[in-house]
Amino acid sequence: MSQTPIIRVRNLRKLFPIRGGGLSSFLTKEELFVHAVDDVSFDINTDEVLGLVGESGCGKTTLGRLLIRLLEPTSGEVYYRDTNILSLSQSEMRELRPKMQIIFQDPYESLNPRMTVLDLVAEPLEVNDLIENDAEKEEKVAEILEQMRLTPPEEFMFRYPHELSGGQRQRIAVARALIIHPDFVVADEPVSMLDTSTRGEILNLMIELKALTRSYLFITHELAVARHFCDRIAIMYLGRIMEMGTSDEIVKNPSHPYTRALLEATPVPNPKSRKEKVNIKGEVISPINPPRRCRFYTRCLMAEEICSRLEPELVDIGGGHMVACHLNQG
Amino acid sequence: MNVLEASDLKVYYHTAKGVVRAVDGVDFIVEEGTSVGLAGESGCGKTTLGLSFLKLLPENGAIESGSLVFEGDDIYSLDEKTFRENIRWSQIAMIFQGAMNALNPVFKVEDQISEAIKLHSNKKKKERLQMARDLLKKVDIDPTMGRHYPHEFSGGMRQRAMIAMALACDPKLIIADEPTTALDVIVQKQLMDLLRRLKAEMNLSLIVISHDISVLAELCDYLNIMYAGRIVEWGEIEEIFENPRHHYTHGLISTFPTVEDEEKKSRFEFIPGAPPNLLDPPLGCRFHPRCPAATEICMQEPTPEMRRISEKHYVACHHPRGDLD
Repeated sequence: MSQTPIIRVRNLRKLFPIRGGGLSSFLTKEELFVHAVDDVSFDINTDEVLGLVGESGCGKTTLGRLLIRLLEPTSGEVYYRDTNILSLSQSEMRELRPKMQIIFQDPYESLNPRMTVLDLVAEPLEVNDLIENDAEKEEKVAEILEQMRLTPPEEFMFRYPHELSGGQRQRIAVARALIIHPDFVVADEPVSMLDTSTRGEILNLMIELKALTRSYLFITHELAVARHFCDRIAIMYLGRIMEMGTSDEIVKNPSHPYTRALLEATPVPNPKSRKEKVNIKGEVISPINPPRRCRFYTRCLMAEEICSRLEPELVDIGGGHMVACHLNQG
Repeated sequence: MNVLEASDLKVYYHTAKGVVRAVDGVDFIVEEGTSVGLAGESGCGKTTLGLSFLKLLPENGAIESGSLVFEGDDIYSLDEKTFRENIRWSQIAMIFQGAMNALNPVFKVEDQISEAIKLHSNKKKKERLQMARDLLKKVDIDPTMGRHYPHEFSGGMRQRAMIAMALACDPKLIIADEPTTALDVIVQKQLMDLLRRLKAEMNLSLIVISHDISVLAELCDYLNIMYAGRIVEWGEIEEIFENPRHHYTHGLISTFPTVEDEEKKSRFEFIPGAPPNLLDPPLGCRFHPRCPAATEICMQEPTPEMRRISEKHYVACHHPRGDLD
């Protein structure tokens, strides 16, 4: 892929300050921060689906929002093609917005209950002045509803969200993101609220309609979904990317002890392949001012002395397979 | 020996819009020392079925008819007082969905467990607290943590504390409703290992309710598949996964993505449509509007009954998969 990546992220960091804290923080005067995203760099290529996989609280949602500047980072850069989006003024950013969209997790919360499907789906067109009149609005909405298999579109256009099933609502949410043909879409757990039996339909539509967009950042806590939906997967733990590679590489040749633990823990719908104990200890440490060492140190069964004093960098161990682990650097 | 036997159980909710037939003629058995899975999509009635075994239904819900037998004794006709004193929690306990909200935030964890013991025994406070700490130890929580409040516990620890509370009166049967939902996979895995270990150590019988068939595949010996208020397939877990006869069961299993596949899939399987509204379920087989094999007969009453495939495998379908008709 010689094309410029759609998104380039360099040393991105987002710290959330913790205020208050009572007497002890007053006395020590130590400033406390949640290190939600801590020095993360990667590219998302044109026409690529990058999966961002991690447990709750690892910073994956924060990272997704930083990429489209719904949040301002503490430091670092985000490039959309050649533009550093963090250097843009508000009005410049507004012009760029149609190129970058987001699909939220919960279709019960993300759709305004007082708007009809027609208005909900057309909202991005109207906000960005992409339509002239009502006829055009209905035509464009009908077209995308049809692509989302909400047919016949006339039957859905004038309904309200409460008249739709969970799967139908999420298809509306996807239609809203894709109707303006963005280049890049952040999909934040788009199917995790849905029953497994209906998820496949949404995922298939997202793949089919990739022609309308270019690239996805697909945020999920489910490695099994990412394995099939994504071209590449990045594994995130406590604000850092621990491992990144093609989805085949990640599931077949996991190199970080954390990735391996995630894989071991992922249940398989097959009673014959019940797994042994997971190779991990303890619980996730606090993301507040984490010590400068491998974030996985306290849970790793293989940790050595160096892991306790040096934070490993993400390095290429061959063919674009990147690992941040002192024990896996060739 | 069966610990629990329900037959032709009907549980309805009376709402302003009409009668919701959440459980509509269900047979259910739990053999002693086994773990029985109950799978289905949201709204299929699986939680209602679980609650009905404990007679813990919401106010507008009631068991309309059927029978409920626990260790050979009829518990269906017991009055509330006798049921509460002799069955609920002391014989059949429950791990509720959403451990985050099921613990009382203003009481210490060990006091909450001790309270559960108090309801069913006349032990002294000191003795009860010691029992509570022993229970915490049993679920791999440092017993000194019992002095802490639920908000000081992680999600996984809270769920363990819920399990300790369910064990408080040494029950025979535990009903676990979505015991690992909303937990991260590693914590989920550890909890499944714990449940499996406790089941073996204490000779417990388990009913595990979940929408996640991969969790049931890990935990259960038998599996019931529920759809729109009815059990549509029952059998030994390996048999069900290897040879699902109901089209819905097959759909549920094949739509589940797995990390074990050799190849990346380019398309995902799904079951078209959505589950029916239980106020007005379709006539005949309730799955027929979504079923690839449905014919005329499936659209007519009566709803297909469970029929025997083998001793440990039953299915309720006019055209089961694998049949040549």
